[in-house]
Amino acid sequence: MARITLLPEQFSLVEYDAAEVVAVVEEAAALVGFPTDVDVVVEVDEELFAPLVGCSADVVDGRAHVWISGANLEDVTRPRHFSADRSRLDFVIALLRAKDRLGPDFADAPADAELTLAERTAWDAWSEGRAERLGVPTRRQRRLYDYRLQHGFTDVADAVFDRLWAADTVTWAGIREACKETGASDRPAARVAADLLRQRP
Amino acid sequence: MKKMLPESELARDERFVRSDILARVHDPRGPRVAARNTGPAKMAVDRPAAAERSRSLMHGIFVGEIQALEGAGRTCYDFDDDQAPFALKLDMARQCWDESRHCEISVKLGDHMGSEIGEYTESTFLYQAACNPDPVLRLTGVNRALEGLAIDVFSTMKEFGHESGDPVLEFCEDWMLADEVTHVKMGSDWLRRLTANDPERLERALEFQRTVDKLFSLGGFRGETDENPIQLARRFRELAGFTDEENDEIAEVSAQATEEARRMASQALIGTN
Amino acid sequence: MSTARAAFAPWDRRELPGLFSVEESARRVGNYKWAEMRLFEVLGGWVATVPELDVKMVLGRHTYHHAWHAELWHKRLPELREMNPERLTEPANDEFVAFMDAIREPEAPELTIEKLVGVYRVLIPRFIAAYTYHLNGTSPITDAPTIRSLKFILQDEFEDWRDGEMLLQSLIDTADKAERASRRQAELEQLVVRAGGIAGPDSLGTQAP
Repeated sequence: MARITLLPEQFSLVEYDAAEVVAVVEEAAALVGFPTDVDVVVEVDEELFAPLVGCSADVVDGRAHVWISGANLEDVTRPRHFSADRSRLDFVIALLRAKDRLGPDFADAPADAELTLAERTAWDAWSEGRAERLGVPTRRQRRLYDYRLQHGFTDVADAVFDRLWAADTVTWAGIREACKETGASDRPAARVAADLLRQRP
Repeated sequence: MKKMLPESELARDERFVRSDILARVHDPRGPRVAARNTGPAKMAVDRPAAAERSRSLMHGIFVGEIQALEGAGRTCYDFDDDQAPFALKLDMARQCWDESRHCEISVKLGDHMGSEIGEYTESTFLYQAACNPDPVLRLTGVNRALEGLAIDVFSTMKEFGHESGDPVLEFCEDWMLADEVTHVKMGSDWLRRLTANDPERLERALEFQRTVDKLFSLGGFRGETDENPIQLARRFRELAGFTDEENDEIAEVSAQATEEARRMASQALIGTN
Repeated sequence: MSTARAAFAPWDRRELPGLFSVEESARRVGNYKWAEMRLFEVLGGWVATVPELDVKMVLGRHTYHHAWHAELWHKRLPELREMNPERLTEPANDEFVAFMDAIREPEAPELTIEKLVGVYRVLIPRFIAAYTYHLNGTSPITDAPTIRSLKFILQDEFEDWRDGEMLLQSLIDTADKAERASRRQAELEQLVVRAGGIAGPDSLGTQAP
């Protein structure tokens, strides 16, 4: 099993149990077949609450680094309490993407902070499709809406989404092609940094 | 069945969870987040967590529509003929139909965005604003203040639908916006008619409206800058019969509320550190 | 030879006589208005008390339907020589008041079945019956405006009855709930029988011996 390091080691602003969070991450790592010889650091930003969700997955110095908003892990109907069900999918998707980064197909992919929103949502669409095939409960319509906000509400965009969702294999070049096909790559650049939520004062 | 149903007795199925206002106020994360840059509050597709924010707002609209429907329905029942004229109740019944339709539209929009009923908590302060035992104050609080806010919210969402290229959202919000303009006019007309010979009652009603307006501007929720998630929709408000003075007053209250929220956040953060 | 056409086309079989005088029509319309008002008020009041989301939305729609019916009747009264519509806006009798009070009584969130049975299995069928009798019995020439309103209103009543009945059938899914529905219906039927109907004992006319 991959070694998981959770930050913070103990939560002070929310009532999440660190061991419970680690257990969900370990389960996700096993499910996606994450390499057991690659350490995983999971940094939970416990200051953030709903609806300020966000997640990033990078490989830094040979270690997988997942940053995730506390809002992604929160039971929205019981604020400041952990929801394993709600967090499971996001951890699976994060680790799938971290695993992608370890392989040659995504060697050219920039860090998450440099991805465009279109590239990120396309990659997430493919990842959630894979999560579904791994038996994780998914929410396709939710993912589709996230994707449509960046790729457009068009038949072309939806067709690309369907392909991404169903694909077994996609490369970084394929992600960029998808963005070109939907026209998303022609959109003006975002006015805010992709990793704005990660930034602390 | 009794008259004047308190908000604690609003009937809900098991999916709905009432939010605890006090818990939110005392959430230790609040001042920390307020001190951070989480992007412009104004809705835009390149804003962090744009999809989740719009889903959350849409669900808030949905539960607000349920409460608006319930409020209009209670106004049909709570007052006898000598307290509320037949024609006023007819208008409230019409509003019931409109709000029922808005509930239906909101459910479909939630499906469109990928959210589920009850996924977010429900705050019942909208219905609470509609609980006044004086029909004039109730109408003012609901049809001028609440529905005025609805005009701002739907206008904001319509713009977001347009900006994001979402034809479904834009279409639906525009239809609901048209209905809300009617509701505000109903409120304005009845306020004038029922207080024609009672300036004291008129002043009490307008004061209640200001109180409700201020409540809905708390924390900078509404305003005219990028720091406000909901934008004051002056043009549609004018169509609904709000005067420039009234709109200016709301803008001023909103600006003060935004500044107050900023100050409180700084103070709370200093206290935390 | 004259080319003038008959005033009534061959296919227009309407006759002058009708069962109701102006005063009788006005009396009934006043009863209808009172009953529709009480109905729309309680439907509106119930919206906040029922937990079922689909029922809430249907009640919201139906509140308007019956309010609109009351408005149509309100407008008809002065046309029937009743210049003070409030004077005739009254229940048929005290027994009908007792019946409507019983219809409007349930409040608790777990009493959705009782609320809907009262309206959709007892009251609205009474509206359909009284309106149909009036439609069939009044003069199609002299009382045409009432007939026009009755036709619009009956369309709503039939559709609302169907909406309510389908909700009830979907809610009544156990023997216990069926028993509750039957009991409630029986209680209310007893009361409305004493009243005679929306317009009193001759809501549906009198049976010839």
